[in-house]
Amino acid sequence: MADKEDNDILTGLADSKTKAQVFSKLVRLYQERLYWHVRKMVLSHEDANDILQNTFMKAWSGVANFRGDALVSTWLYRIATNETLTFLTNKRIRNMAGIDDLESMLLNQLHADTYFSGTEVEIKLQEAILTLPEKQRLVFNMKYFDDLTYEQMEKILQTSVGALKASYHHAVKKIEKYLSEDKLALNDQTG
Amino acid sequence: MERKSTILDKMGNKNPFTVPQNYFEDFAAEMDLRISAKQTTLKKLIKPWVYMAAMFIGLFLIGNLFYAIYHHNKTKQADLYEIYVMSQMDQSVLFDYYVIETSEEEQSSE
Repeated sequence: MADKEDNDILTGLADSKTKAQVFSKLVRLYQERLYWHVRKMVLSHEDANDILQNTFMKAWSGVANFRGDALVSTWLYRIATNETLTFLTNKRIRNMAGIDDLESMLLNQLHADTYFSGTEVEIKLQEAILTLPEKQRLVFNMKYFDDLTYEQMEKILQTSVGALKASYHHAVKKIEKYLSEDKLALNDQTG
Repeated sequence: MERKSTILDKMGNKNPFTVPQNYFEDFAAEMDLRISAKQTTLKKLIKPWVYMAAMFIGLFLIGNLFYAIYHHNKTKQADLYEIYVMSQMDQSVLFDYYVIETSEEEQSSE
């Protein structure tokens, strides 16, 4: 987003008369990318919807504290990422007494999800992604699916470009290994 | 550092997830409602406190005004009384009054 557009948003948010109207525009502008960012982490539509609502409500409450030291998109991505990681941590804690681990649970949810139109190979890819640690999953999704640059990711995740590149490299290696051990993926690759 | 993966490249990065119909339109409308509700709630919460503060400020100002009037009247009455007393005295009475008062003060200090 251009700096001027960001400035216009900040000016609009600072004025109590235009705050709600500008925020409404902000929701419409960013809801889709934030939704997909969250959805790829939590997999379930209902969970992604809850997290997205919390993200925007937190942003609304925190507007006064946002001084424009980062882009509006970076600020929103950060809130969404924090909300997602907190959600996953809480879910993991709640699930500690359960038989399945969180990743198996997410995968079961994915199989039952009405709002997943992926093929068997795409399910396998999601399975492979779930074998990664959460932060590595974030990096992989942001780079592989959302095509974000390392510089954009650096600002959102507050991690150096070098560390992000290394993390993505390891993620790709692990996923490749997981998929190459799976006949279905290999058949698809050759077919 | 970035590594190319043949398998991942062949798979492509198509998004396999979907959303309910009109989800984003509905979501934005839902957020508008939640924000306006939050604004109204905040106004409702703040309003009684603002009214109460205004009431106390009003009471304080009215009290101050009455006190100022009362104090002004009292001072005026005292001034008038002094003028009246002074008008009833001639110089010899006044002299006696000061002499008696000064000697009483000296006695009490001893």
